[in-house]
Amino acid sequence: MRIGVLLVILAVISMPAVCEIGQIYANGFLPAVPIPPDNPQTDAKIRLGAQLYFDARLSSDGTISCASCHRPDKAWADTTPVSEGVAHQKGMRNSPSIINTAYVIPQFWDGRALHLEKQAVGPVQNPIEMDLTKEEIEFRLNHIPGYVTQFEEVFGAKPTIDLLAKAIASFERTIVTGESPYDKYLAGDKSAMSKSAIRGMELFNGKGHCNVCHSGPAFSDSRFHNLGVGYVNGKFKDVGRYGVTNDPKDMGAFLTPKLRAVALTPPYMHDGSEPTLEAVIELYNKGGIPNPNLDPAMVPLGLTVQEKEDLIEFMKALTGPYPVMEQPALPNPNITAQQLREMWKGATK
Amino acid sequence: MSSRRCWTITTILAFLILIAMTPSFGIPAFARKYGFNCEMCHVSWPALNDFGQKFRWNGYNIPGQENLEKTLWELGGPPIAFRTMAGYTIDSFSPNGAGDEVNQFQINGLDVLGGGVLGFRKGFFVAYLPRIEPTNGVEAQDAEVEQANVVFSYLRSTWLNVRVGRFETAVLPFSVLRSITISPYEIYEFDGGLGSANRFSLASTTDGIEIVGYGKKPWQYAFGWVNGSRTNLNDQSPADVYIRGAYILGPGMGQSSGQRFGAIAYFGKARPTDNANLTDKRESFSRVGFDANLNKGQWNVLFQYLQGRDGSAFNLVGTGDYKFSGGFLQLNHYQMGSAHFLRYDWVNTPSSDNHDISRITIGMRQHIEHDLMLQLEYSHRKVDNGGGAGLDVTENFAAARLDWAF
Repeated sequence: MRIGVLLVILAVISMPAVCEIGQIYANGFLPAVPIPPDNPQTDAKIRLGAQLYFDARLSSDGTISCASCHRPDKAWADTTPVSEGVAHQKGMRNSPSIINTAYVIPQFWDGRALHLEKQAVGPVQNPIEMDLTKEEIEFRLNHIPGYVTQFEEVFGAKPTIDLLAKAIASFERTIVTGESPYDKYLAGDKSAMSKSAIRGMELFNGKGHCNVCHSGPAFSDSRFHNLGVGYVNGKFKDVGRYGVTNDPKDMGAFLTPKLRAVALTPPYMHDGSEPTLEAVIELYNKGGIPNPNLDPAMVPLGLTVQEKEDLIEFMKALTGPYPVMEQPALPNPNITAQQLREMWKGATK
Repeated sequence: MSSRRCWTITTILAFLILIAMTPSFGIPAFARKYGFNCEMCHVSWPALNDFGQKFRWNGYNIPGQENLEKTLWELGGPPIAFRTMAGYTIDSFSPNGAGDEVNQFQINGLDVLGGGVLGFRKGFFVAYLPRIEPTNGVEAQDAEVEQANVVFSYLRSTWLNVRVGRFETAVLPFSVLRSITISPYEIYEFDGGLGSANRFSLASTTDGIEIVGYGKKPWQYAFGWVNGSRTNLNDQSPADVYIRGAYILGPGMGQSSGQRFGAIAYFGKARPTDNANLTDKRESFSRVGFDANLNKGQWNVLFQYLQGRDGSAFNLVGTGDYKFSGGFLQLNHYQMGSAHFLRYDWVNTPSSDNHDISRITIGMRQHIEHDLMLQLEYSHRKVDNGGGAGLDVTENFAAARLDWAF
């Protein structure tokens, strides 16, 4: 009888704790896309953002747009380890998919932009990517009459680089996927995922330790981790987050990538060095690449062949329908980048 | 309705409510807090894997995720978990009367566990065992605060983590409290038996302060200053110290991956008041040994060798120091959702005592759910009875139990 009393007391006192415990790492359903108060979504702004996203005239030689590296036909990512910018230049980092990027703070592999509005102005000014100065971008936008009209309609102002960023950010916030087999499974449809994928989900949240960093609606903790990728001969090819913070502990650390539609976006890692999901899981299975800054969460996993396959099946189950679109009609398509470059040169002589 | 039946029904209902309220991954304390599965930290709970070992040393913070964790205060209360075992147990002795015979369904103990984060790099862990009266089908349990400690983790680096309070010492290469077997590690439990008045047992939790550390590779260490085993008599200032070092080959922490080789040394003092040669002075004792934890794929080998020396004032059966040695060799095989184990334990006592112990244990654990495990175990134990022919005590233990953590 005393045991009964004891158990009842224990059960009762534990109830509040059970009820209130927050699952800070749990990957639940997709919440509403966070919208910054100073950049509310409007249809006109999203349409404008889509045009700007696809407009290669925002690159110096007219060859590169946002969509060149974040391709809608490739799950809004790219298929090469590192994308080509203007004049076929190559950077050091893989182009991540913009699917569900609205849920991630900060942006870029090194997190140097906090929000999409800050991110969007980066590539257009990067000499390897789109290679324009702020002044020339604004000059070009203001010499495409259709854009001038649209910016005034949407923002009540002439085009500026900050307004361009707001429009592109608004468009990117519409590229969202959430109705994956995983989401359906969580919603109660137990047939939505295969048995292998269900085992993979359990491994993801358990033995695989994936959930430690790949958490939240987009499966990213928005933090920076060092897996040792790119560590060769005692040095990192790319310093990663260290380049932003100058903090030695950030050397070789990169932002946790999102996992929605991950099966569609090879190659992987910040440098695109892992061609397949199998290769990625093998990297994790051995505990990353030893280096002085290796993330403490990285430990060898001891996964069996079956367990690796199960994890990949779960990765595949994170793909749901996502928006796909062709390039929209651009304003004044007869005005070329070359013409805009000549006009800019003439104006700045 | 009788009072007993009323309480039984109430108890069952309370448990059903608890289970119903538990999230989909209905597993204890930490796992529930994070939404993780138990395999995040355990190869087969309660045995820790590499990640779980790091988590423990890191003050119950996810390694690398410090300052992101909700503290005890933000959670509105400590995460509490319970663990109990229930099932069928057969425990028989020869000759008859050499032990408490059991052949029935039993409930075997109840642990109340809590732990979490108090603040940045500051965690805590509590394990309370409520008192349980022995009744038919219920194994007795003494009320005990088995563990209650605060961990200050990552003080400057992973090399400096400090634990204060009551804890299971890190001098033990293989945790007694997180063993996957029901049968105990004989050499850790050995407390002098009939030959020594020293009731010290390495398996006991103790009060004190402990520092543990590890680097990227390949060293680990532990140092402790403690009261000593709570079952020996050390009623003066803390006099026990221990040190442990381990070296790891290959990747991992040497827990569930990598090959770990270690050595331990424990030096203590206690008052041998059980001895007819009563002395008011404290007598010294020591335990030294070496160990290995080897991993290959899903296979895991644990090895421990230990020598013990209790000062002569402890010796109840002869003159000079009471010296013994022993160890164990355990082979584990872990599969997804199950574990199999085989272990041989031995303890060699001095010839003047001659109560050598040997035990062989075999069994398995099978996950039924994340929070429910089926354990099947058989163990054969023999204790020499002073070398007298035909007088050895043998024990045959068999159990089929559900291990339930919720």
